[in-house]
Amino acid sequence: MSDISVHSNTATRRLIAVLCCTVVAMLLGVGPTSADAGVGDVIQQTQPKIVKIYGAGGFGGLEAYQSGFLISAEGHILTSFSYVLDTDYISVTLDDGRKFDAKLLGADPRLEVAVLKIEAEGLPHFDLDEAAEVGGGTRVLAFSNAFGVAMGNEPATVQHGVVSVKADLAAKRGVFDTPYRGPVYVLDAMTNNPGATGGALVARDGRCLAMLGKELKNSTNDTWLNYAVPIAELRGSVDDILQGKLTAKIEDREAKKPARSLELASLGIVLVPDIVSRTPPYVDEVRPGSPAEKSGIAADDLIVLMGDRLVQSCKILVGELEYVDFEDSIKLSVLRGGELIEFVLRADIQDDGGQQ
Amino acid sequence: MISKTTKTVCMLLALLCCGTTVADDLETLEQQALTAAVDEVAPSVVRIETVGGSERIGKMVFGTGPTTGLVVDPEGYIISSRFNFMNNPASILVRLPDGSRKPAKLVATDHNRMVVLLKIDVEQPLPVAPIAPLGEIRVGQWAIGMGRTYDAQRANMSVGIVSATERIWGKAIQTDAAISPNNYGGPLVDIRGRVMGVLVPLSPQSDNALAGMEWYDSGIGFAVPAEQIQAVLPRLKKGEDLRPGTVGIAFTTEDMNTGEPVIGAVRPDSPADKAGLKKGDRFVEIEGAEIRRTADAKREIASRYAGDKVKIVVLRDGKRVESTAELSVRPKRPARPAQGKPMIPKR
Amino acid sequence: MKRSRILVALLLIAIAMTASPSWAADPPASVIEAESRRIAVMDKAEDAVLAVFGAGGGGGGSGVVISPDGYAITNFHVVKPCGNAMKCGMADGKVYDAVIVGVDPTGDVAIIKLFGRDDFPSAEIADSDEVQVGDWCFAMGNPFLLATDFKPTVTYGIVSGVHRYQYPSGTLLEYADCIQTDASINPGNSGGPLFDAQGRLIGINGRGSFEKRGRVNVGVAYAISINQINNFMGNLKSGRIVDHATLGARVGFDEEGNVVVTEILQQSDVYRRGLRYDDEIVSFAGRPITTPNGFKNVLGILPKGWRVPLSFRRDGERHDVMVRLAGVHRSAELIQAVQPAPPKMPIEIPKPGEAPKEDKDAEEKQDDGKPAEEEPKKEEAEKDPKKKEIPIIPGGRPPRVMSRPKPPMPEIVKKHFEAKRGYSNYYFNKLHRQRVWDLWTASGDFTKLGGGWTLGGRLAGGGALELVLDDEGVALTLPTVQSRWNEADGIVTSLVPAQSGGLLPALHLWRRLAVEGLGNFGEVYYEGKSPLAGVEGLVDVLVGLHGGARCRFMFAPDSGRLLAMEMFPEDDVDPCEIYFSKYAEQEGRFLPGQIKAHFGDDVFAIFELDKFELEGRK
Repeated sequence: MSDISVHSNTATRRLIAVLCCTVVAMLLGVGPTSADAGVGDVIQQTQPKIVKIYGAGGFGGLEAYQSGFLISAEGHILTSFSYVLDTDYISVTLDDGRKFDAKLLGADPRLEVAVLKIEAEGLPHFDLDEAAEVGGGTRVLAFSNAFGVAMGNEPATVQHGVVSVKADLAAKRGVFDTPYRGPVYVLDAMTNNPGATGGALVARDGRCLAMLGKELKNSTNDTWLNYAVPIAELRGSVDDILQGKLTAKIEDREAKKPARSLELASLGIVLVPDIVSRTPPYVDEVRPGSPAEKSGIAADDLIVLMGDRLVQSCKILVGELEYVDFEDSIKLSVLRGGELIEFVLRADIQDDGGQQ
Repeated sequence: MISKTTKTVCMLLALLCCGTTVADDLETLEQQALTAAVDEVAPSVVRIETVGGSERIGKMVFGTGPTTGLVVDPEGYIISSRFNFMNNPASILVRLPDGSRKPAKLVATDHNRMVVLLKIDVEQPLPVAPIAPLGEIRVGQWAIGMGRTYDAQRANMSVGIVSATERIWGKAIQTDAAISPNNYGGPLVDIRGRVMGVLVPLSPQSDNALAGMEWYDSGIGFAVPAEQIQAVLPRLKKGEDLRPGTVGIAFTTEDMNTGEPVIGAVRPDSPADKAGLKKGDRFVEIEGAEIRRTADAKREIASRYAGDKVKIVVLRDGKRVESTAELSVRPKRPARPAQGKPMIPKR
Repeated sequence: MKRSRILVALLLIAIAMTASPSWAADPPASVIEAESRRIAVMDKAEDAVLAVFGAGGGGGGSGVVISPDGYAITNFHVVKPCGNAMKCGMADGKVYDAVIVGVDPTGDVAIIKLFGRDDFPSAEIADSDEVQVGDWCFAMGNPFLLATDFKPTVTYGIVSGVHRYQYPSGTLLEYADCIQTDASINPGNSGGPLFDAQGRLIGINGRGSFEKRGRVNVGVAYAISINQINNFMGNLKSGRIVDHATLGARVGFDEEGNVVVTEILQQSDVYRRGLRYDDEIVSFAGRPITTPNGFKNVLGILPKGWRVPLSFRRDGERHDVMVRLAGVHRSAELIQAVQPAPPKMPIEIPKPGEAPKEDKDAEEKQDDGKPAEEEPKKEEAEKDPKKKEIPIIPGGRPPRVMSRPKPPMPEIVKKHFEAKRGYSNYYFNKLHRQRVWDLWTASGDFTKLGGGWTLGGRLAGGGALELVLDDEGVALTLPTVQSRWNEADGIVTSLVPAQSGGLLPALHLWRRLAVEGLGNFGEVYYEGKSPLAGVEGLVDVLVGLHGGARCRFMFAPDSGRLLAMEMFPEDDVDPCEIYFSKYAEQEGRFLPGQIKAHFGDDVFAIFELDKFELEGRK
């Protein structure tokens, strides 16, 4: 045998010995197990991505607060679509205490998710592409401004827990007061506190998992639910919003107005009187025999979407309709009793002569 | 020459070992162990659906959703929380983890530990999860509450620790895991996948079956020890409803925290009366357990059932007196106040 | 080859193990070890935990023993309904009598003392400033009075936030600099310990955020930091009703986000030190200040009477001063706060099946997001229905317990209790007052030296000096000037020499304390412990009142030496400060070789003394 091969044999033997030991160690579960040192770091890295959202003044003197998190360096914020955002003056405070005015870029009422925008750059943020999907038993951290405890540069509240189960929110209608019935992470941490909605559910390694949900009660057993909506479920809507859909902006439309546009009267819909600047578009009356009545729209329905545009006020709805040709059909999504219902309808053209 | 096979295998092994040992920090190992424990017990955790029954009990609107139960005998006996059946459903359906649905009969109720025994007919023996010996349970150990209310196929779990043993007069293990109607009737499990107890709402101040539900998800939750359920299982299987036992005395003090265990009154014809206990007697021992305070005496009695015989030792005029009492059911309060000596019966 | 087969076998095993990381019913050793460690830590920690009851077994809260002689911490709102005597159950199943020592109604802290052992198991105390968000922690106590065997309920969670400020909610109670945790804290946990993962005491549980579910835990609770309690410990052990600090100024954000003075009292010490409206606060008591809440957090953990550093900036220039903190409350307010309230049920344990009383205000969606510049003033109780932090008041017994006559105070408690207006337990004040006196006089008893004292030496700047003190007055002779103070002129009315703040009357009072002793000086009480610039740790403080002046005498806690005194001729003025040092022994007594006199921001004089002639009374 040459020297080389003898040497190789010893080396191989050593290698085998080492590998055997490692495998035995794995069998016994012994080996490097770091203590909890990692979580402190993850918390420190995550806090800068969490924001505190305040709905200012507005009418009725209502002050409101909730949570959100940054999803881009330029200041896109993912949060819950709630009444807190129902104002022209949304204020966002970052983890370092800086305050910004925020715009509602868009929202999807079906998922109750919204995207805000502040003017900034270089902000720490979650990369939604790295969001993970997990199963029951996964240890998680929830970041939020529950009870509005944190102000200015005070960091958000951190809670620990596990995903109790990943399940569809409800098979039955009316169990939860929300139109969303898709999969959620049910949590064993108490996250359904005031102000926590829109917060971030994060894995212990810092990956974003989900957005904390709203305060919902489970009507089948009268208990409050703690849940978060997986990023994967929200992703489509977020992308739509970033691409300009599900937005309420009508100023920068490229499309031209048709010669004759569709009017609510032609559909048979009468909205509530538009008294204040942001009257929500509730249906006041449906004209008997009208296309609206035939399609099933009813009084007290709240119109939330027209096609893929968010309509937050009567003005916006009417404005949107100006871009729709009077012969085209439109899709209206309404909220009725916590359910989201879609209708497709078009004006009754033959009847046109008698319209005012 | 080292063969190519050897080299390749060595490299793969090396990579594998590096990969796994670095990734498994304590938190991850714990997470894996917790989910493994849940997986161990899950085949014994069943989903219960009820049909019919009242919608309201007092001020409380009663739920209509699925609840949870635990298989305790391969022949088809299932334990669940009495809370889940308070609305007297017309029919009970048990859904086994394999998907099959079986009608169930409510065989018996333990009104002291707030559990019910159901029976279904099975073709194959059902899996029964191992039990954690009560004497081994320690404050601070992992405790996992399991239910099957959200998703029939996936058990829901909530993680906490054992907060105390011997709560609610010795009837319950206490945990800070999130316990609620979403897992009442399901098991409380240890990290080794053994059942410590069955989750039920309880309160020290009341024997009402709904008592304790207001504490759901508050970090205060209770499980009746599996060992204690095992002890009464034979009686429950026979269809025997079990009721809390009382002895029929009142203490001299109403201080149930630090008070002296001295008898202030004995109800006529009560088990205490028949056993010869008298006003002024001071409890020293009950069934061998030392009694230092009113709470100790209450624990020994309240954890037992009507019909149980207990050995009592009291101090009377400086001397130890032994006797045996057979516990009875608490008498119903008369509609009108009784004539003669009004006696408010206590344990 | 055999070798390859072994290797392939190992490879397959390794793959099998990686593929199924779940260990069936056999968790890895490290997991079991970690669980066992936690069990052991909790088992040890529970020994020091108390279930606190009123004398008749009513009430119900928690506490924790902090020294083997039986001193324990609990919440003020736990002891208030108990009166002066309590009963404490410990995990060994035994019940111990306890007496009230001192209370802090604002901070919601009380110190009690247990009797019956001199080797009580006690908690190890940690530094709560080291606590970080994400750290595991556990609470122990008696929520909902479940511990009928006195074994405390243990709940486990993480630290959710640190340095949290909680507004006073309609009562005196203000929780500053709290540790926020998601470990479950419920009514009955109040007064009990929050431990870190090693079982060391980091806080005292007292408060939670509640809203739609009434008073059950919803994952957000707060503990008073142990560092705050340590600041007050000396004062609490003095048996007094202690007060928190106020600066005499309020702060808020300016447009650039700096913390600046928004209001200032002209008669406050900090005004005299030069702080003005619009000055930017840089740091306070050693902590950098970046928000008004941060400022309130620092203030909230300091006792009245402390003197702490403050740094502020004006026109780009930094100023570093020492400020004296006044009290927040008038003494009558504090005394009122500790009066026993008429018995009532502070917490209802809900009837079975009944949800706990929900906040009526939860119906109206009142939210209170406060943009940072609108910090509510500290003293105003904001009604924030949504943000309702409610002290976790322990479960009570049914009303029939309250109507029974209170049981008599146990003998052991009677021996350790003395009532006096303004004190929660005057017995302990006398105890410490005597302790400090004994320690001081161990290094020199002057009570027989009521004659004239002649001290000679030199001024630091040059020139001989002579100081003569007797019952009638004090005479100071310097190279260029002579100064005389007569007792007949009055202490507060004759503050000579000029610019000294009353050095001579102050020295007179110094001699008076040494010669007349505790009984004859006038009223002397033990204030507690306080910081002193230039000295490590805290010093013991005796307060003496005579002739309209209030003197604070500061003693080193180990040697008992008198380190300094302050004489306040009236409130809201700078005192005459005297620092005694360079002690040397003469005829069995230690006398100061150096006396430094300060007034305001200036050093008045430094006397180097080398001659002492002290005579007895003729």
